[in-house]
Amino acid sequence: MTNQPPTLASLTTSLTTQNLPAPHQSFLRTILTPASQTKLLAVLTATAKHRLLASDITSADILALSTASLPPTLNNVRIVNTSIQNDTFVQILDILDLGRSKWDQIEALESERKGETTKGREVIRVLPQVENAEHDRGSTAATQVQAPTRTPHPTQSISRGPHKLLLQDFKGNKIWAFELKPVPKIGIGGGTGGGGGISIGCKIWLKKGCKVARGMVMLEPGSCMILGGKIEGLDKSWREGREQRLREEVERERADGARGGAE
Amino acid sequence: MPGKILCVAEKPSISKAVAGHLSGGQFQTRNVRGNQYVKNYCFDFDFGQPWGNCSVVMTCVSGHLTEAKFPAMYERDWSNPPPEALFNAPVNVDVGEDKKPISANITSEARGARALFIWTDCDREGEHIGGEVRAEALKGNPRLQVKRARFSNIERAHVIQAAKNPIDLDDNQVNAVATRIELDLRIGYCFTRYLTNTLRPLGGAMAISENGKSRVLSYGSCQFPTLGFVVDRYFRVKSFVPETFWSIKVTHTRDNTSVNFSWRRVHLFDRAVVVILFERCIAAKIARVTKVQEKPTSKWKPLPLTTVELQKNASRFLRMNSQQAMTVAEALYNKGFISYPRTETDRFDRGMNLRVLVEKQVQDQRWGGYAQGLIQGGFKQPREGRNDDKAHPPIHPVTWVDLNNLNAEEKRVYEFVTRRFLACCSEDAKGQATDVEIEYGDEIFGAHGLVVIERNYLDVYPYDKWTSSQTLPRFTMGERFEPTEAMMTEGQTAPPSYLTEPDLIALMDANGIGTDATMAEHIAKIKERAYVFTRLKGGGAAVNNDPQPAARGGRGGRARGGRGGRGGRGGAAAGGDRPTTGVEEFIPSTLGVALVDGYDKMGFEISLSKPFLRKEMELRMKDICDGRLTRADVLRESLRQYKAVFDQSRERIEILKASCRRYVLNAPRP
Repeated sequence: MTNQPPTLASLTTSLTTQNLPAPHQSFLRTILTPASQTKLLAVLTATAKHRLLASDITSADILALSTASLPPTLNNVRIVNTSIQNDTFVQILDILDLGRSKWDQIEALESERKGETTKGREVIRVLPQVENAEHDRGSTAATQVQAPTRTPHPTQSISRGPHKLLLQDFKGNKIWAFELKPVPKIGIGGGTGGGGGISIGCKIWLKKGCKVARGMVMLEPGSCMILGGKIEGLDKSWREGREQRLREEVERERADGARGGAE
Repeated sequence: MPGKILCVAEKPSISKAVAGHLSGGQFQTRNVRGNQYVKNYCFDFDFGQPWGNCSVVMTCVSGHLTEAKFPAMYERDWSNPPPEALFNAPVNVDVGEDKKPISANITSEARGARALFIWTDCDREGEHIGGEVRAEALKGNPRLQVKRARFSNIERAHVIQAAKNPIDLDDNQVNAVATRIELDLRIGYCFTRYLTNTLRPLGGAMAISENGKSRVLSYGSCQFPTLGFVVDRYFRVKSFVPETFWSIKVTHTRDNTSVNFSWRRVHLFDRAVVVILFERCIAAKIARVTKVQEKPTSKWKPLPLTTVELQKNASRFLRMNSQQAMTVAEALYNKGFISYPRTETDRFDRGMNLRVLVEKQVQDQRWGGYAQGLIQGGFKQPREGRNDDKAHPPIHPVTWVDLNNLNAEEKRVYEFVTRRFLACCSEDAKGQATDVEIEYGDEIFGAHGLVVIERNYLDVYPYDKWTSSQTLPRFTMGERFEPTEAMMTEGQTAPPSYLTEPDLIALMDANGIGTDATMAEHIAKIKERAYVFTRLKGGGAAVNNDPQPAARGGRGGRARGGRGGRGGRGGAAAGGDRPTTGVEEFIPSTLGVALVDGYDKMGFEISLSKPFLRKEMELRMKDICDGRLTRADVLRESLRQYKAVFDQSRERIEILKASCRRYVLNAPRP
């Protein structure tokens, strides 16, 4: 069996046993080419998995047409209680931290932009990473408690949430989800995304039975599975625009408040 | 071979007190020509081995003897030679004109003496002053043996002990201070002149200051970061935008007690989500008790008192700012009532007999009974903090004093120091805490109850509050009940408040701006420069009515006059004339905002309003003290850094000018 050359079927099986959805045949054909057929199934599977997690699942010919999607009625806010009927593969388009005021998040992003971060009351300067080792203090560099240079990489702590996430299935249907119980890995990391947290385009399985209340998916550790991944372009523009979006949001709320408008 | 030993203290009060203790009160007093405050006290004292019974002349200086100055050719014109020439111009260190009688007295008394015992305060500045005294004494007698007494208060037994066990002067500390003085002089003069030359021509308030004189834009490497903290906070307050948040509150009435359960999530910033969660609580109807925990709890007694803590508490509880508090504490120390008030140490040496100190307080009318209780078995060894400056113990009362012999401010500080000390020697307060947690819908809510059982240290330390809450009725694990009421509530975020003095001190402390001994001076300095003003928190009239004291010492150089001694008079009185009744908050002037904003906009590499550069400099001072770097290393490195900043800020000076035009020349006062 191990000697048999990989086929579309064996590759699909291999992927689905790794908790991935069955891809579209044309997607698989870009990986399983006559030239690559000599490679081991495990290698091809890894390639396929990597590409799948990095892809936008709404693009044509990525997932098999039989893949489960979100029924349109799920968004209905009049339905107090329902649940996901089939395991559904989705990607993250947006993530918000509901536990922290937007202004607070703006201030944090601002000081990060300026190259500072704070630890308690201490203002810490985040140095550009390259020249850190020989920065300034010369021979004593190793012997000092180097508060200003202690954090070469801004391993910003990941946001604590709870978070609200915008999810999208392969057909392009979108739905908001709320992190009802803390789900490991869900969070907003600092800076360019190197510091932990999930990325835009991260893939998630919503499992059958996952609660949905008034059009909002309730995420709990048992009701979803985070596969990871990221859509490079979307993630980049999301990060670059985050501070601006938060500012606009805050301004909008202020304007609403000024009009005395409830909801 | 007994002979004569010359003893020199840092200020008149100490020399008199030490002379009194060593002589048993029997000494002759001789005047010193040219200075009416400094006296020479003559007596005999047996120093023990190897010195024996010697005749003693005890005298003093009055703060630093020398001044660092540029030669006259640099003093005449602020633009010629150009300011940057001061980075490597020669610096002369000479005895100040007004200090000459004092130095002459030391030189002449050193002749014929066998040894010099230095009795300056045991901190870095004191060590440096000791170095100055040594230099003057060696001029009169090059073969003099030089020792220094190590002491932290002027209680009799302690002083005698110090006299009999002198140690060597620490030249590393002397060098560290000399380095700092030179750096402050060069950097302060250079930037001050450059800023003044450049910004005055903008005219208006940039040319003429509030008092009608030509504006001087002074720069100090501690002043600017201190100002930076104030301006940062000011902008945070000004730009703040409130936001609405929502929460869920559950109450349950049982045994006639209404218990509030607070939401584990506290609040969320999304109405729709909270509505959904709230709805799920209501739909669930029944809550289930998931945790009932009763456990003993305690409120820890405070740590032994450091300078920074004294300053912070003074603002909060004693109705005085940090500078006033230090002046008062200094006076109490000079009178021998409390230990040296400049210390970073928050742990008592294990060998110190604290019970004896507690016992001295037994006679007090207000806390005597409490102290008595400690002596009769209540005494507990104080907690130990993590800081030890290896020079001074935490601030503590050295002897009991009748409060009627103190002025109003001294009373408050002495009372605080003493109550704090007794609290440190007490038992923690004990209580019983009850936590009940319920699950309701998908959400978790908790109620917390506290019963204070033994107040212990709280009885003597009214500055801490810990009170019993309502007693929670009984809940049992796993029990189900229908909560009496559940409500969705709404609130708004509030802006941060302007910096208060305790906040500012904490920020300076955490960021290495100044030392415990100098923070209050830097704060006073930015007020004096009209970069910030203060007002009573909660809105009120400005209380910053300090008259502008005549400039003392060199600009940028650190004047030590404020630290006790006669020189301190003007400075000390300035703040003390109107005691404030609450915590002050700091608001920057338009000028303060313009300077910080301008430098910030130039880019962070050179932002002088950030603490980074100064912090590195302070760390280097420590390197000198610990023998890791030499004075020359540090001068070279720090000057190189500041020179680079100077050059870059000159390239981008238009940015600073634009900020000054925007905030000072066009805009009204914030």
